[in-house]
Amino acid sequence: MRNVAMISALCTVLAPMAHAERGADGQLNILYWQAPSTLNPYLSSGTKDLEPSSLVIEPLAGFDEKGDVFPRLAAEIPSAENGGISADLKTVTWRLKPGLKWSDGTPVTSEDVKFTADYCMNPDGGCAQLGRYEGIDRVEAPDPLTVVIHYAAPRPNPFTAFTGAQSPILQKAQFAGCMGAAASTCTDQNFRPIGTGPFRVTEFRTNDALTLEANPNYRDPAKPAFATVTVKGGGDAAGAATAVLETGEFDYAWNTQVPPDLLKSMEAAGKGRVVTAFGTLVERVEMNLSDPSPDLPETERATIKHPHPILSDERVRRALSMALDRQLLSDVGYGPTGRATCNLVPAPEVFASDNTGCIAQDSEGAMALLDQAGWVPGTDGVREKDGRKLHLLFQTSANPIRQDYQALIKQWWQNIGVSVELKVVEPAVFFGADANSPDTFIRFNADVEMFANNFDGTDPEPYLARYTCDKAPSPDTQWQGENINRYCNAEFDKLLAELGRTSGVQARGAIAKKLNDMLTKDGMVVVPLVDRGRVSAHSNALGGVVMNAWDSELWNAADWVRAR
Amino acid sequence: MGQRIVERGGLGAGTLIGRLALLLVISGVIFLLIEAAPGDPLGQVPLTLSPEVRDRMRAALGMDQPWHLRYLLWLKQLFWIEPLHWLGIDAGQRLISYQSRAPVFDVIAERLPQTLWVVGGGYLAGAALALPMGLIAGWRPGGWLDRACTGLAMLGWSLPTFLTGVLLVLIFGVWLGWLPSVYDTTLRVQGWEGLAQQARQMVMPVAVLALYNAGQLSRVLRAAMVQAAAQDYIRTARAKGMPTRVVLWHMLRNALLPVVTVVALGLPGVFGGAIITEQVFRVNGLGQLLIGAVQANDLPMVLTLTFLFGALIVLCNLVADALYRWLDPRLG
Repeated sequence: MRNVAMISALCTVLAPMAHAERGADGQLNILYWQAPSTLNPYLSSGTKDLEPSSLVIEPLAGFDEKGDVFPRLAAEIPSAENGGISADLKTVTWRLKPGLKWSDGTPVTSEDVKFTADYCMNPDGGCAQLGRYEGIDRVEAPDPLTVVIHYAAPRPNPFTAFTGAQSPILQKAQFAGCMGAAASTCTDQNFRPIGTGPFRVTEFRTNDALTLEANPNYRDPAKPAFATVTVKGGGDAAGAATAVLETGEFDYAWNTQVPPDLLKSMEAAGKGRVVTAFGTLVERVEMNLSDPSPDLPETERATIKHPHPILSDERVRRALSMALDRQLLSDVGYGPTGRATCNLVPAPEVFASDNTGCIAQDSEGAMALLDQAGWVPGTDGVREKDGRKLHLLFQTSANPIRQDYQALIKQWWQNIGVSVELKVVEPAVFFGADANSPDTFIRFNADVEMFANNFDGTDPEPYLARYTCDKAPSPDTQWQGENINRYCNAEFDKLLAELGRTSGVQARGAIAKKLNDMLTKDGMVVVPLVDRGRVSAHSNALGGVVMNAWDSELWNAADWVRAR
Repeated sequence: MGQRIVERGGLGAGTLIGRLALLLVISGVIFLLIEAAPGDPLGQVPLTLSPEVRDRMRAALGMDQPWHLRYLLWLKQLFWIEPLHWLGIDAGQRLISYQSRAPVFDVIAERLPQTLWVVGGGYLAGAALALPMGLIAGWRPGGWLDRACTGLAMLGWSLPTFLTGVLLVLIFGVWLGWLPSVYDTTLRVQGWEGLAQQARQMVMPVAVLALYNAGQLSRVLRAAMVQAAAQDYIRTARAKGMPTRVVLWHMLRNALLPVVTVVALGLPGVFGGAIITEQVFRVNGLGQLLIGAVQANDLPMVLTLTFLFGALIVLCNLVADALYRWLDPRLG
């Protein structure tokens, strides 16, 4: 009797580990409440599009949950040691795994890889992932398994092209007629790409639902465990969390970002669990270093011609940062899926500065600093200097958490004698690039603004490069430019150029940390608040989920199994 | 109101041309409104994309063209290229959605079935519920049946669908687990089992919409019945001792006039979808398509959908006029 019990206990333990055969686990239900619009990531850059597409099409290499590059279609990761990266950092050689097949049974060759680069780099195609192919002079395919990328200048971090869910390999035979201006007409190709991934498309309904089946030509004959997959869209984040955690109708729900206490009570139903992973998404307050006054002519308003009358003083910016309780902001807005941070680049570890000085709130110190800067309390409690009130316009996009943050921050700033006016802008307008709209975050017709941003992949160089003098938006550039603070520091520009010439992760990390500190703890131009994690939910009946903030969340779906 | 529509003129060729001109004006106004509204189709693109890449994407979508050229192109695509395409003739670039780069009409065709099933079902069920409710309530105004029906109608009319929908999900989806809370649009209705599954997933969204529609319709019918009951000929008929069945029929024929107006003018709303109910149950019909397109500033999709809704409203007005003549020969 005891033996039987022991054996059955042993079986329960071993069952999930037993190697399943392809398709043995039946149907998998995934919920992306923002439904995919297309499965071609080169025509859209939304995570809602590129993550479902990562089940079908794959890059040469991906990022694992630690942010390390690992081979997918490539036999190994190119490096200086294996000769994959040339000494001058201008040539990168990839070798494909031998014997790879597309889901239609035809062989995968280096011609497909070369074609993918040509497809995205075509000037008329409007490729959304062009940034990942930046700096490429030409791509060659000397033999069916070898791809050589020639860069115009040394490329210290070559893991953008063909790496990550944003730059998967397309099949040349399928997309040959879709180059350039024809890209938009290829609906069938964009909705049903032929790939090398664990699944292939059976039906795609744009902005609604996607059905898939196991790819019979997938390189691992034992995978995937699921025979069919449905990716359903619609509803909102709370409804998605309900469908996994409460009704159990779905196995996995993407982006279940709902108030922390609600998520906790849903998880208590015991049907599933919430998974998080931290990447580089940081909610921050950005300081305007130019004068956004509406009294200035439209061509000079918020340009470097007129320095900000209040915020040009570093002491004021520092005082505003000191008055914040970041831990409270993180708890209120994101609970376990947020972390208070002082860094613009919070990860990966090698690039993250050990900068935690801002976490503790210091209102007394902030007030002392404002006194020192000459801003003294007036009769109404608002500080003033030379007849000017310390009054700030604080704008952000419409979003419940951001409005809570605005209210809290306004209170803290009022406590130190700063009068604050709040402004809320519709997200499509705020994040739009309409040069004629005065309300975009780029035009920055306010003193401070709040939003979140992150960077692709694991190397922050292009991200830090946003803050160089020449990237300040102005009428001359049709109000385009990523340096929204109008920050201009010759030292910063010099150090950034040095980063561009430096290879080796450790050395790059040291420079990146310095750049991060110049913008944050030294300069107080960017005031980071919360490091926001990705949050999704999966049912207890789904095994093998490893949350990943560096690549598609579905990056290891080939390994997912039905937990029994 | 119906009276006035009819008095405006017959249904001759002149009216039709007038209505077509009206449609053209509608399209122009919608275009200019969307053009004037702030917002950027690339507003949802991640900030990690550089401005140059955004510019290229914009150019690839044809958004760098001046507005009047884009409007003319849209007219040409809608009235020339699309009709020819359905005839099997390729006359150039079809109307393409900014979001998905798929032909706008293919997406609309894909969304139509679930919209008709659910929103149309909700409309029919609502009408079927409203007729007896309105009749019972209007037959003896002030009676307890009237008060019960009025109460139910007010409840249906005033409870917002985002409340009733979520409530139903909570009760039948989460607590009892009887019905699916997510509508499966990929379901193929084959055989009895498929039909049963389709019925199961339709129950909750259709119930939500039926309650809402029945509330409005039954109120209109009740008011019309009360008005008809006060007419001299009904009093005479009752005084002569005519059977209730006959009296009711006389009343109903007259009372149906305003109901037909409301039903016919509400029909375009069926195609317009039910934005909130579709969202709650993830039906993803035309309502969700429109709201998604508005949020993404998907100009070709928004323009085409609103134009089609406008066209349907004009068409349903024509149908309502025709029905009037049939129901009330005096208007002929």
